Amino acid sequence: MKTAVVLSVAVLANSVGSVCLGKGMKNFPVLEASGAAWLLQAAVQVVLNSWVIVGVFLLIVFLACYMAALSWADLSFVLPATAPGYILTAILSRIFLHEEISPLRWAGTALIVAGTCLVARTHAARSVAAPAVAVLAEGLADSTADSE
Amino acid sequence: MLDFTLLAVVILAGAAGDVSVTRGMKDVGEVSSLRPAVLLGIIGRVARHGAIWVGVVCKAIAFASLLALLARADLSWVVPATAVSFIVETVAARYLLREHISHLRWAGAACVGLGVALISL
Repeated sequence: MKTAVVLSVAVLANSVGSVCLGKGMKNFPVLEASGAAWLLQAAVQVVLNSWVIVGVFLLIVFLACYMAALSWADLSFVLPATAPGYILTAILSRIFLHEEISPLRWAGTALIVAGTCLVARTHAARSVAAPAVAVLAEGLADSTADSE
Repeated sequence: MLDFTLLAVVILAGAAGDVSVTRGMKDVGEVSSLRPAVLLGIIGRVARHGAIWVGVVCKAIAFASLLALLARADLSWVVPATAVSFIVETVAARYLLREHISHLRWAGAACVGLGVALISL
């Protein structure tokens, strides 16, 4: 039960967070200019964009839930359990970002979910400790990078 | 073309960041307690570790590229396309780390590759 709740929050936070980042960046003026001054100005605009801020916050929530789940569950369970997030992201992109998703793109997304599940099955035989350390390290890096 | 270049930066800088931070954290040692004094000590060692800084810079580059990519491309393409990391990881494990890769894992990586090709058509 605990695992189901935490992984559901992880999947939701990841998909909704991605949509928020997408929304923030789609509102962003087209990337056409160049030069250091423009880049700095663009960076400030991105960092101050409220969609981007919410998106980054939700991705931190995702990472915290994902890491927490990995502390008691196997990566070979967590990876396929969160893979349907690709489908959810596609559905949310269609609804909130009004993206046209062709049948081919749906098929490709489904194949990626299947591939993720296959890759995860090969983790079953391994120790959980190593991937958990990698994810923990990644989490530290992400939260540091995000706060910059 | 620029989209695929940005995607490559997202994947490669992200992977380099993972490896670098993992190496650094293994050096720093296991986070064995959540007591503030212990955590402060660990944070101090993390902040002084070169490999971790390299990793953090790589991760920051990956995130900035992801944002730039999101400004140009559909989210419904960007998110599944980042699954290419499963293929990169499998190939790196086989040829850089000399790990044995099972047929099932190659099949999974191929499946992801085919899926990414489909969403990019």
